[in-house]
Amino acid sequence: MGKRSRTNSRRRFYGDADRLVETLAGRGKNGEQRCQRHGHYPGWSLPALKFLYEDRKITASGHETTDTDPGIVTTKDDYSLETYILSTNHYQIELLTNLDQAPESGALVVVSFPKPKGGFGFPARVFAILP
Amino acid sequence: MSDNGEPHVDPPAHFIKGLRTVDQIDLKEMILPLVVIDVHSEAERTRITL
Repeated sequence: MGKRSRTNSRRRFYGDADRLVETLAGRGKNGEQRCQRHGHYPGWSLPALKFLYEDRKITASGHETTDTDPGIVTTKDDYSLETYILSTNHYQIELLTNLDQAPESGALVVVSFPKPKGGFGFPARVFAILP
Repeated sequence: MSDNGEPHVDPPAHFIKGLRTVDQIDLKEMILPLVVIDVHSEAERTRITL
């Protein structure tokens, strides 16, 4: 799936994303679209991900937001940070919730999902076992 | 089945053809020590520019 169609499919399916995206649609004098929708949610940075994956050798990462990359760049179809994680053979989880209820460290996380053969993604049930 | 509004797994093959798909994630990668990085206060402070 191309990047553009992927973005469109995300806009279609990610109900929560609509709350995170501000509509700035405006029309110019000739009716042209002046602005597009800009995502305003925060994201990872490459130095942070490189530290975690390359120095600390983590297995996977996840976030509460819709995407790995900040909304300001996903708006421009830039998914380079998600590409960094996935291209180094790691997996990630998106749209995590209730992370404020987990301690900074000391818990175990269980990331569960079925194993569809050849699956490119799947809903996940993620829970923590607290110390 | 890859995109929806709920928590979901993105395996390497989500972006990179030929890399691992969901069924190829090892069980040992599915129960892990958890570290939470809380940046919500920084996100609140950060000015968003267009």
